[in-house]
Amino acid sequence: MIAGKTWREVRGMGLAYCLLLELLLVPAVLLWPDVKLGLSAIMKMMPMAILRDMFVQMTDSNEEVAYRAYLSVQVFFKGVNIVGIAAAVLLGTGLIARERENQTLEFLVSRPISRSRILWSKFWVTALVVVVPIFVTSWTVIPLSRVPSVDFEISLESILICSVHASVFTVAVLTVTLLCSVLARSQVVSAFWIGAFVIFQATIYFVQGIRVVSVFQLADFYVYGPVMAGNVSAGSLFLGKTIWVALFAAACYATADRAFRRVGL
Amino acid sequence: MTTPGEPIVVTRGLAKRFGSAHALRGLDLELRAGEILGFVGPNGSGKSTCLRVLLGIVPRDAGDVSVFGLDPARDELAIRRRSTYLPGETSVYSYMRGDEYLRFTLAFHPRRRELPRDIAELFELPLRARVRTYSAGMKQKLALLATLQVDVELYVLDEPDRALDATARLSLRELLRALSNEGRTVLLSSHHLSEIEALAHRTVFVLAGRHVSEPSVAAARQRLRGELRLRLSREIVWPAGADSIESDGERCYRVRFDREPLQWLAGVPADAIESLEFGTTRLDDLYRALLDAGRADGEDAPP
Repeated sequence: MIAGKTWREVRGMGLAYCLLLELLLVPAVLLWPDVKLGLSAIMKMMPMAILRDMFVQMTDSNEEVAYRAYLSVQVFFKGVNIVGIAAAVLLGTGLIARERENQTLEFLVSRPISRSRILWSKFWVTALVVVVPIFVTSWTVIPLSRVPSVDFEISLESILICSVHASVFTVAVLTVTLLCSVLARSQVVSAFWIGAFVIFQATIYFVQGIRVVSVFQLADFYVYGPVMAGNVSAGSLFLGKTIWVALFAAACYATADRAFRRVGL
Repeated sequence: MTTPGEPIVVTRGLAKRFGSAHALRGLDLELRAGEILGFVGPNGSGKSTCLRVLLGIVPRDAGDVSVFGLDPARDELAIRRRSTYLPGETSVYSYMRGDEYLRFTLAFHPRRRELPRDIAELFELPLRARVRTYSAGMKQKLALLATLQVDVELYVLDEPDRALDATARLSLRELLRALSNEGRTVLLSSHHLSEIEALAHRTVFVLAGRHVSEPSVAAARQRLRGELRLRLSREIVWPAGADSIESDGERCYRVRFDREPLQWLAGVPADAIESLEFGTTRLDDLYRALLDAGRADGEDAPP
């Protein structure tokens, strides 16, 4: 019941998010030969070392190495980290806060169903809506890369490894958003707190000395690039990084669940 | 299932605070199977909080509560499976169609009951239209349909007549009477005292988080028995002998005595009397008398 209702509420935005990811990806791949020519010029204008390093790899003399680096930036570092997180925030902020704002929360929590089940039903549907487009879009890369103007073979394995990690990272953002939604009086307040968190994390990511404490370090080019290049195995990524992100997500969800069981109307 | 007369809801010394504000300060309540209990009190007196505590929506701070013999703090789901609740705020999903909303809300309970056809017709709504196009009264009717079609033993209704027009309120009376006739139990909170008066088998008054005790209510009734309500067609010179005369609208008066009023009444010109009421206690008068007295039960008892 609640899962169906949640699907009804988020499916439109989920479809828009999936289309947006595809719309960003398709021209990015098809224009690759032209883009590569301009990357050296763009690299010289990059103010931050971390971005310059990324461009160095995208302009590698080995065309395939450069293309794989470019894909990891376009699909995962830029696409999922920006559009995916935006979707998680937009969809997640209202999950509980909007019910409270519209005065429907009292109706919902007075039904013969536990608060934990209400939260879980809302969460898993939203998590699916956030995650499925990541897999769909990243899979699109494989046939798209075979167009004559590009013509590279991208392995399903590397795409899947990156997609799993990107999905876990996006779901982790969704759990933080869910926690804000449980605690906030309205969706605007919830969006403010999660927005402030994301902007703060993004800001410190670009500061050399303190980048290590930014959560975005767990899902940046230097995570996806080596996987796409075939230099990092699934086990190494999952045990080294993904597991910690997943544990963080689980802790956030458990906190949100505990808070929702205690929070007032 | 419960048997008629069996206690369904019992609270003793129920207390609840929100920060420094005391919502409930030791409320005692008893509701028996098959009964319609009117729950009356001013805004902020703790009625809605009490209903929420009974269903385990908010936890209590102190006191004993039993609903179907279960504790709402531990067995809230078991209680909610046997009851249905209409919140005080109309809570409908505006993006849904009316029929979608009904399907969604009724799916939480396994069984539905059919409403009497003639009454249900008065609640007819454009169910294929989006709820956002409904008026406030239509939204309330939809919420009521969703609540009253559930087949359970206990119906907890927080201001069910809010935003309803007179016709719908009459239909609601019939619906609630039908529930009672079927042996179901209704806890009815309302600001429309006429509804409570017409429907409830018993009425509990709540002031400042406490119920008003039976002796206090009886004393207020007694005071009101010596009150005469008069509507005059013209201004007159009042005869001497009344304790007090208060205006209660245009040429309407409430006259108080502590003795037999007939002798005094003989001094009022008969042709000036449009209507006269004596010896009956209206619920709204009782409510006003209790508010005036400001004596909730247990006021002097420690919290």
